[in-house]
Order: sequence, then structure tokens, then C-alpha cells
Amino acid sequence: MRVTEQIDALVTLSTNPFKYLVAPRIIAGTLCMPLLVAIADIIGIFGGYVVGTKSLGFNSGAYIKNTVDFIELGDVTSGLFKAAAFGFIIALMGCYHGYYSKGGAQGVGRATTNAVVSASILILAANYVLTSLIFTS
Amino acid sequence: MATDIHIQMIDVHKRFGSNVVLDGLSLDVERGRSLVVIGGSGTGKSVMLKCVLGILTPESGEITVDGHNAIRQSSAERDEMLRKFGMLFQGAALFDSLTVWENVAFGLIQGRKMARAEAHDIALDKMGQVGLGASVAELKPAELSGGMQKRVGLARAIAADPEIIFFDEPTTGLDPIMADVINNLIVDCVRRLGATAVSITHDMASARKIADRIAMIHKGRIIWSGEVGEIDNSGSPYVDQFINGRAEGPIKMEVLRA
Repeated sequence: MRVTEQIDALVTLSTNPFKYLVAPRIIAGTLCMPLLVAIADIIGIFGGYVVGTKSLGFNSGAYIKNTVDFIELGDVTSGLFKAAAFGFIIALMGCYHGYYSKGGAQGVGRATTNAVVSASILILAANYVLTSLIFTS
Repeated sequence: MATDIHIQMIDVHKRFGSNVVLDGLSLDVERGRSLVVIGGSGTGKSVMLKCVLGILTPESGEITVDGHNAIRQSSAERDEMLRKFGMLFQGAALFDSLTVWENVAFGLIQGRKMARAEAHDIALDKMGQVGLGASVAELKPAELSGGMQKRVGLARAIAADPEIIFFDEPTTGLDPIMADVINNLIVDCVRRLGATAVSITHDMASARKIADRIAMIHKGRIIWSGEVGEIDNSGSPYVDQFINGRAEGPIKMEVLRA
């Protein structure tokens, strides 16, 4: 949007680009990533059930009982909390690099690469910090 | 009769790194008149407009709009000031995720919190003023030709009945006939609103058509200004070279040679 002057156009139409462009994306990223992770958790457990009972011959009742017995609430909530943090990071990096991109189509490509790389590195670092906080508390 | 100055720029300097773009630019824009700033590519025309709008901040100098300082102001004051402005961007700068009418109505809905139904009616009215029918209202900007996009951009610029309208190269990239259509629309819209207009262009046919006054910018300064009728007898070799489009003259194009 930067390269086609659309952000400048927002400003001239008395609209704050941070409120209109950045804030909704960051809220959406922070809220939706835990939802995606919740779905992935369910699919993961179901996938384990299918492989365990159909291919490895586990008893389906035993699989479900063990799953319920060994999953603690903290396992799920810590995962969802991390997902919210990662969603925030992904949206923030996307907005930051997109907002300040310059130099035509090439600049947009470069901004995209930078957004993915910086989000990946920040997620790696944040995961270390969050994991150590969650496991020590 | 004392002239009524709407926008005043005094000794404005702006640079990007070591690249000096505005080098002591001073310019007065009279209320209710149409000023066209001509000058070659890269002489600072667009940067000048963006400094007035507060999109860029100059290093030094003064810019006032209606006597209020336009450079150092709070964001609330700037929002208030920007309500007076409409701008047509060079590439139209339409929001490609919104439909045509939402683009036109954007400043009304987002900037002024108008109800969508009311803004829709105003948008269709403004689109009619630039010769766009209701049939294109629900299309996306990408589905329109360049000339139609410019018209949508013009409708968006005039949607909130601004006091001041900026046109950034309104005819660049259009064929001569569509360029003339856009020129006529600009003249009509500015007259109807009684607005102050500042256009930047290097298209002399366009400049002669829409200007009351013309100013020429070269290397970040205004080197000549006068009424549109005086442009052919400006006495300035720079202006003569520019309006006649000659490669030879005091303006040297910096051409990189291998």
C-alpha cells in the first residue's frame, strides 16, 4: 500500500493509518492464532487416535482414557497463550515491514521477505523466553 | 485589493539523506484561485505538496494554511487541517480492496463518521459530477481503466467539499483526449466548489487549461511565477526552455553516461 501512495491517501482523508490499518491486523493476529492452534490441537489428538488404533493396534478406549488422563489444562492454555504471542509478532512484523516498504514491486518483495524472516527469528526468541517462564512458574 | 493568501510557504528546506529536494522554496497560494506548479521530474513538486499535507516534515522553513502553522501541530490539529484538503494522487491511489463508491465515500465514512447510506448517496452524486454512472459503483478499482481510475480519484478528492484541492500530475499516463477530459473536470470541480487548487504537472497543455497562475520550480526553488497569460513572455530562459520542451538551454538534464 505504501508504494502506491494509498497510505498517503488515507492521511489526506483524515484517517489515521495506525488505527485503520495496523490496529485491526494486530488484534486479528493475536485473537485468531490461538483459535487456529486450538483446531490444530484437536486435529493432532484425532490424528494420533487414528494412527494409534488403525495402524498400531491400540485399544481405542485406552487411547482416549490415557489422553484425557495425561493432558493437563496447563498444556492447552500455555499453547494458546504462546499462539497469541506469536500471532501478535507475526502481525506486528507484517505491518511494520509493509508500512515502511519502499521502492516499487521489488521493495514489496523485499519487505515480505524481511517480515517473514524477522517474525521467524522473533518467534524463536519469544518461544525460548515464554517456555522458560511457563516451566519455572 | 490585497490578495488573500490561503497557503504560504517560506524558505522551506527538505532533504533525503544527502539529496537536497527543497532548497529554500517560497510560494504563496491565493484563496479561490488555481495555481499550477510546473517543473521537471525530480525537482521537488510532489515533495512540496506532501510537506504541506504533513506527510513529510521539512527540516526548516515555514508553512501556514489559513495562517496556522502546518508543520508543528498536534495530530488533532492536523486532522482538523486535513479536513480542508482533497487530493488527487498521481496513480489515483485508490484503495484496491474497496469498491468504487466506498473509495469515493471513504473520507466521509472514516474521516467524518457519516452513515454509510448517506455517504453512498453523496458518493453517487460526486461520481455523476465526474461522469461516472452508478453502474461502476460496485466495481473494484482494478476493473477500471486508467482514465476511469483518475475520475474516481477526483470524485474522492471532492467528496467532502474541500476548500483546497491538490492535483499531483493529474494527466500523466493518459492519452491526450482523456487528459483533456480530466482537465475539464478539474476546472469544473474547482469552479463549482470555489476551492483553492494547487496542481503539479509537466504537461503544458494541462497547465494552460487549469491554471490561473503558474509557478515554475527548479532545483527545489520557485524560479518564476506569474499569471497564466504571462507564461509566453516570462523573460526567464528556464521557463522558455520548459514550455517549449527544448533539450538545449539553462536546464541541464543529468544523464548518466557509461
